[in-house]
Amino acid sequence: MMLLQLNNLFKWVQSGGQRIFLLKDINLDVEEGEFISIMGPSGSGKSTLLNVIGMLDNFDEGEYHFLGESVHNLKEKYRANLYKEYIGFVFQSYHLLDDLTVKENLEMPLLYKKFKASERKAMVADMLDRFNIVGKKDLFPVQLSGGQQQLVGIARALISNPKLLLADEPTGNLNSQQGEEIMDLFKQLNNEGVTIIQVTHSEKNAAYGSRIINLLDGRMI
Amino acid sequence: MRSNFFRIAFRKFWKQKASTFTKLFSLIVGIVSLFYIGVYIFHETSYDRFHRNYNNIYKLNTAIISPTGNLSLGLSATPLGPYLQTVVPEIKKFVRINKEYGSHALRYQDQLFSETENIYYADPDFFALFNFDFLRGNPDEALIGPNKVVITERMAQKYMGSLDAVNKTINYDDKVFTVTAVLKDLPSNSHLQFDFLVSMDTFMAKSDPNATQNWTWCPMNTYLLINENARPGSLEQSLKNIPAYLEETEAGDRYVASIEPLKGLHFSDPKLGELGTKGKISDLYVLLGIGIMILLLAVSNFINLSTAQFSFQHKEVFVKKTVGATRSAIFSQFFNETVLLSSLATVLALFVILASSGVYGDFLGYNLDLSWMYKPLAILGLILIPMALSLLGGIFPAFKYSKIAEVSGTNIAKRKQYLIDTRSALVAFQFLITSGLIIGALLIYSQMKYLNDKDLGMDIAQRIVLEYGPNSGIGNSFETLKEELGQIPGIETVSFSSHVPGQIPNGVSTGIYGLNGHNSNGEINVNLVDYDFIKDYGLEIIAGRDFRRGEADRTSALILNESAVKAFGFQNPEDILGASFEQWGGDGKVIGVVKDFNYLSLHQKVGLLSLKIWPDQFMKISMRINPLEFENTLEQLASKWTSLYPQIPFNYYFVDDNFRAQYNKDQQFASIINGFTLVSICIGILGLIAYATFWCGRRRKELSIRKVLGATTGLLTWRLYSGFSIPVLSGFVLAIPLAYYLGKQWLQGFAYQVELQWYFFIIPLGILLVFTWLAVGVQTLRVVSSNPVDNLKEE
Repeated sequence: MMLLQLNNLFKWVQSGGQRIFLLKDINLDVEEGEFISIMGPSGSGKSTLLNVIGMLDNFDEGEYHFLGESVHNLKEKYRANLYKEYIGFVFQSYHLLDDLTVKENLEMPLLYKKFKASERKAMVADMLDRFNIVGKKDLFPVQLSGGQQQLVGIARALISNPKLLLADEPTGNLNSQQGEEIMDLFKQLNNEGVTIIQVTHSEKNAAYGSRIINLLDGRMI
Repeated sequence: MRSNFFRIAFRKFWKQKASTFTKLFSLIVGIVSLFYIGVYIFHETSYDRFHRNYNNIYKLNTAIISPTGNLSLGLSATPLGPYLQTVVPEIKKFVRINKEYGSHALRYQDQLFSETENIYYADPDFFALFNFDFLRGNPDEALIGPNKVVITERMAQKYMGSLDAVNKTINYDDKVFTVTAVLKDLPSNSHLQFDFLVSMDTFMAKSDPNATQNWTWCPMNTYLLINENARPGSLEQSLKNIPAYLEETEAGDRYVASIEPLKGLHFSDPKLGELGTKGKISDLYVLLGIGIMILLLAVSNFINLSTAQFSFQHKEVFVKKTVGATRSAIFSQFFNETVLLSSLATVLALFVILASSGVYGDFLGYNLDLSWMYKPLAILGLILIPMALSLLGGIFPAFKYSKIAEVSGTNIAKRKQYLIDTRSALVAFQFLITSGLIIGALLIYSQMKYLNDKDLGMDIAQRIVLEYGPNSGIGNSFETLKEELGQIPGIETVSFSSHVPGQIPNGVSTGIYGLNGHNSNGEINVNLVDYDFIKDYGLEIIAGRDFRRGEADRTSALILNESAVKAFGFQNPEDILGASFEQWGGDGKVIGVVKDFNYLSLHQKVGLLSLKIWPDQFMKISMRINPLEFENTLEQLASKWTSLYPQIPFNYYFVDDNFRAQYNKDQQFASIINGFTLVSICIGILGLIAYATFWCGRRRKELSIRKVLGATTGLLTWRLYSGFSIPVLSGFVLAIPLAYYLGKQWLQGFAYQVELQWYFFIIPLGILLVFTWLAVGVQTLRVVSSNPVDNLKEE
């Protein structure tokens, strides 16, 4: 089943009276259950594309359909509802909130979805259990290693059961062993049915995926 | 609110300790300052409102239009009140009050007390007009008949040691007074301030019957109670038709009676002979302005610090957005944090107020009544204050943060720039206020110093005044006493008079008939003095001669001051010498002219003054005492006095203290301004330090790059400092015209003003720049001395 579709998508910025294209004529179909790796040199538009798919960033031209909804016609509020419901994010630098404990970081997305307190508690406990971090639930991010932080980051992205997981260089700040563990986790999640799109520099990580998209100067090649 | 909102919010406050402390401190100080300013303003504007007839009471004033200038009296003639009641039906009741000036000896059983300026005579209807609380006795009958006195609670305690004073007797002026009632101590916001209220019949009995029917002698503060629905217009018409005032007096004076409502009396122009102290409404505006400025300072600190945390918090906003937070959710989170902090500040401010109200009350000289703080309305205020503060200080940052949630990463840089500009403007605004206040405080300080230091044209240092009051019979034998006192070693000069500098002498109508045929009349002040007074006070005779010892100059020789000579129309002081005068039914010759001296405060120009010897009216003995033997001399003086006059309390004060007391209200105002200026400087500096921390933090990367490229520490520091000084300087420049204008306005209240000096403006600038330098300097050194590699790795 088709998860999302990008048709003739353009994104640009104005600089000195000229258009500088960040994304140029992107056409992309993603089926549910795929594991896609986006590759390309620095500045080729990988992260921009990921942000557009994640609806964090706007685009200037073209169409974006997500689960049959036309994202390009949606108002901000509906768009927010859409990604809140279906999309989870994982970042290179984890982006955990320093003031919150592991448990509170996990709980945060649920707060914006009006779950009851008891439900939230159950879901957080479930996620802590699943990722084997029950013992760390009251620690703050700074008290964790990079790998553990990224584990929490992924757990947070998954807590509301997204269909699509977007990961921007998820292993970029990790050593090779930690990185491998994270990629194995991704593979396992994918096998459980989560669609994953990751941005990566590493051929080795890209190999975990089912398909590779190469970008150069905002164009798919 | 979310279940864990409080926990996380407090965790955040704790983590940003410095910023939280600054915010809390500024807000607390802001609230406390505004509260105290509010209390002061409230007290000043609440004068006399506690009388149930507040809106229907009017006071009679009399203006005397005289060829030598006009006098505006808060007083009226004795028969005027009764007359008006017979011709104007709208007047329900009237009360006349006569105040006893100077010190008086009172005796209860065998104890002797001295009372100063707290004895009033009043008509029986006093308590029908004015509402004072009775502890003992009946208000309707308290002042009927002669030799009746109503006293206050504290006097009952002082004299009888208990409140059961009714029917006990006090001796005063060789008469026996019966206490008819005891009043609760008078509220501080009453313009009538007395401890003894004596029945008017007593006054009438001791006065000359002709005097009490005299229309040109104005000893009374007369108050009228007017029908609720009456229009003051008809009353004013009647005031114009008072038969006795239709024509000029023989001396060429014209009397004009007018009314003034009790409402607003406290702030109206001061008039001679008025009761109570006056307030200045412009002072209240200045204070209110300062209060608002302090609060704005606190709030702008708040905004500044909140938005300065942008760099740390935009990550939080971004992450929350990716997990689905809407803009309104982010707005309410930041706003709620502000509400929480302001509520905390309000509660802490309350504790500060409760702990410090006593000190503030002592400073103002009255008890602060804070009981209203426990009433529902005040509690509502407690809820509203944090809300209002949050609205002021919280909306803007919360709005800005929520706005980030809408924009994508590429626009964040632009937003940041916008926030920085806003902050610079806020810093400039803070410095506008702070420099304005510093300039103002300096100006007030200089003016007060100028008033204290200015050459008054007389010498009042090291002099004490012994006041024995009228009716003592000392006056006529003053020479004997003078000699006796002069024998005490340490007493250098002794002179007698009716008034000493700092006290308003009597105004009397005086006629001058010049040798060259130039005649003139007018109302001038007269101080009755002995022949040593001019010499002893260091006054300078510029024409003619001083008084001579002996009978010849008694009551028949007059010395005028320069201003009086001019007012009577004589060009040179010499021209008036030898002129005849008529004053108070007496006559004689003008023998000399004394150089103008400031016998009253420098708020006013030197008034017209005449000096005459009239021993009967002497009430005060001025003595210059050798400062080296002061204690000793005073002891001897006291024992001599008690042996000579056991019935008159030994009661003395310093002439210069008494003179300076005229500036008490100014001094208090200056202290209030200085106090709050200090507060605002503290808040300003705190904000500056916090802002400097942020400013330098943001430039870490830039500085590191410059350092890697070879910039020296000095260059880097200068770069930071010069950039930072721009908002400080622009705030300062904007403050100059504002402070100049307001300062000039304030100085208008003084007849003698200090010149505005350039350094009034340069000193504040120096202070500000030094503090800026310290605040920025510390931060700069921290950044500059750190390893650039650490800073560059960060991003």
